[in-house]
Amino acid sequence: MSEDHSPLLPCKSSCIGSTGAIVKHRWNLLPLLPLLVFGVIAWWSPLSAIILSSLVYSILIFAFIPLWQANPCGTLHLVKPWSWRNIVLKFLEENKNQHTEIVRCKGITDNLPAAVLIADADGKVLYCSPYTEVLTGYSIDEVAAAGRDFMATVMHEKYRGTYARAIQFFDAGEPYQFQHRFMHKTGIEVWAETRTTPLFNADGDVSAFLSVTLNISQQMVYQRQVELRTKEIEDFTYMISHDLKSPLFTLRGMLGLLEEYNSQLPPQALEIFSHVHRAVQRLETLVNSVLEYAQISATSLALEPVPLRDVLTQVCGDFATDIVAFQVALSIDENLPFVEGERVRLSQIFANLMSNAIKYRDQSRILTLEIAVLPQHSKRQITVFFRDNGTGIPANKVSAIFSPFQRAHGASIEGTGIGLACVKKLMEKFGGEVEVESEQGTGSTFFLTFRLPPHHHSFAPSSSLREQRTK
Amino acid sequence: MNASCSLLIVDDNDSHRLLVRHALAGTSFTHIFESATLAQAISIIELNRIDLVVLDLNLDHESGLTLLTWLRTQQSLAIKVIIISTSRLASDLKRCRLEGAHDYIPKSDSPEVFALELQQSVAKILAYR
Repeated sequence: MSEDHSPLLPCKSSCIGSTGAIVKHRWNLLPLLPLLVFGVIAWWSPLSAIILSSLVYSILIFAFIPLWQANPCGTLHLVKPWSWRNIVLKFLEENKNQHTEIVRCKGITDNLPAAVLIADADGKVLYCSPYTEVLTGYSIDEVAAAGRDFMATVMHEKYRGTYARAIQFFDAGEPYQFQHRFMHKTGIEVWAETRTTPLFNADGDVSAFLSVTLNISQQMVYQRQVELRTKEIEDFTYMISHDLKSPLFTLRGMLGLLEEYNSQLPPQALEIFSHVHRAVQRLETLVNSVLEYAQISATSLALEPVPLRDVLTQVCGDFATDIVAFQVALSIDENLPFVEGERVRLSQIFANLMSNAIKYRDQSRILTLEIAVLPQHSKRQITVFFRDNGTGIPANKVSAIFSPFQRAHGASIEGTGIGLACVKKLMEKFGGEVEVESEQGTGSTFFLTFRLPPHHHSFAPSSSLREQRTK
Repeated sequence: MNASCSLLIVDDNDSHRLLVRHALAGTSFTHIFESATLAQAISIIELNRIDLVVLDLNLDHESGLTLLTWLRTQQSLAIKVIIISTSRLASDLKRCRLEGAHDYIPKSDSPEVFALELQQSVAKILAYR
C-alpha cells in the first residue's frame, strides 16, 4: 500500500494550484530566525556568552526537525550529530527523487478522465485533478474550499447515506466503491461511480484520503435500456403464464367431469384419457414453475437481516420426512451468519437446494449434506456452501445449470428445470451470487455469497445485534 | 332451510359456469341461473328471487365488483355473493371483502379443491339462512 501514497502526498509545503496540484519543496528557514533574534540581543547584552551557547543548541534542535519530518520513519537517533551535513545531502537527494516521481504521477492523474481528489487527515484538499472541473463544473478552488467531502455536497441527497458509509469504511481503513447521481454546476444530473480509498504512510497509519470519480452516465443509459427490455420480457412471461392458468383450470375441470363417464368408456379410450391427464398435469407444473420464476422478478423484495441458522432449521423441518426416510447425514455450521435477504425467499433457496440434493442423491451411498461458512475475506459479503455427495452434474451441463429449463439429468427424474434458476434469480435480488462446483459421481457444492447486513460488518456490529446473535 | 332456493352463476367463461354448476349439483338449489354479462345478471336478479350469486371477478371487459357494489345499494335484496377468480392477489381479496362479498375462492387451485371450497362455502351460507 505504501507505494500508493508516497509521491503525491503529505509534503508539508504542498498546496493546491489552479491547474491541479502544485507541490513545492523549499528549505525551511524558520530555524534560522531564533539565531537572528538572539544574535541582536547578544550584541547588546552582557549575557551574550550564555545566550550564544543556547543559540547553538537551538540551531541544532531546529535544524533537525525538518529533516526528521521529511523522514518520519526516522533513523535520526542513529546519525551522529557531526554528520548532519550528510543528512542534509541525503534529504536533498531523496526530495529530488520524490519530486521527479511527483511530476510523473501528476502527469498521469492530471490527464485522467476522472475526478481525482486527495485530502489529508484533516480533510484539507491536497490535490484535485483538472478533470474535476469538467465533470462537476466546479473550479478547483471551489473544490478545495469544500474540502474532502466535496462529492457529498453535490451528490443527490438519496446517496448521502452511501457516502457516509464510504467514510465509515475509510475510517476503518477499507476502500469503498459506489454508484450515485450528482448535480453538475449547470444543474444537469450525472451518473458517477466513486471509489474512496485510504492511503497509508510507512507506519501503516491512514495518512490521506483518495477518491476517484468516473462519469458512467452513458453506461447507465445502456443499463437502463437493458433493464427495461428485461422487465418487458418478464412482464410478458408473467402475463402469459397467468393467462394460461384459466384454460388449464378448465381443461383439468372438464377432465374431472369426464371421469364420471369412465365406466361407459372402452379400455382404449381410458388409456388415451390417462395420457391426456398426465400431459395436463405436466403442463400445469410447467406453467406454475414459469409463473413462480416470473413472480420473483415481478415482486420487489424487502431486504432485512435474517439469521441463516433459523432458515435452515425451518427448511430441515420441512424436509424431516425425507431426511429420516433416506437417512440423510446432515452437518450444519453452528456459526451461520445473519445475511441480507427475505426470510421466505431464503427458505425457498435452501428448500430448492435440499430438494435437488435429495432428488439427485447417489442411490449407492448415504446422502451426506454439509452446510457451512467459507473463511471470510470481505467484511461486506459472506459465502456459505452447500455440499452434497450426490450424482453430480455432468461437466458440459455445469455452465447452463442456473438457466431456466436447463436440466442436468434429462427426463429420467421429474423436474421442470426452474428450481436453480429461481435460486440464481433470488440470490441476485439479494445482491449476492451463486456458483457451483461439481464432479460427476462425487457430488456438487453450491457457493452462495450473501451481502452482510450493514450492522453486521465485523468492525461495526451494534450491541443489540450482537446480543441477538448470542441468543 | 327454505324450500325454494335460487342460485345465479355469473362468469363469461361457459366452461367455468359448467364447473360451478357441477360442483353445486348436490346442493339444495331449486333454480340455477347463468349469465355471461353483468347486464344480463342484473335483469335476472330483478325478475327472479335470487339467494346466492357466484360471481367471477374478471369478466370480459367488466369487473364483478360493479355488480357487487350495485347489489349493496339494493336494500330490498339480501343476496349473498361468493367471488371466484383466477387472481390470488391480496389486494383483490381485500377489495371484495370491503365491497361485501361473503367469500372469495381462487380458481388457480386444482378444480377439485375449487369445487370442494365452493361446496363448503355454499353449505355455510345455506346453513345460516
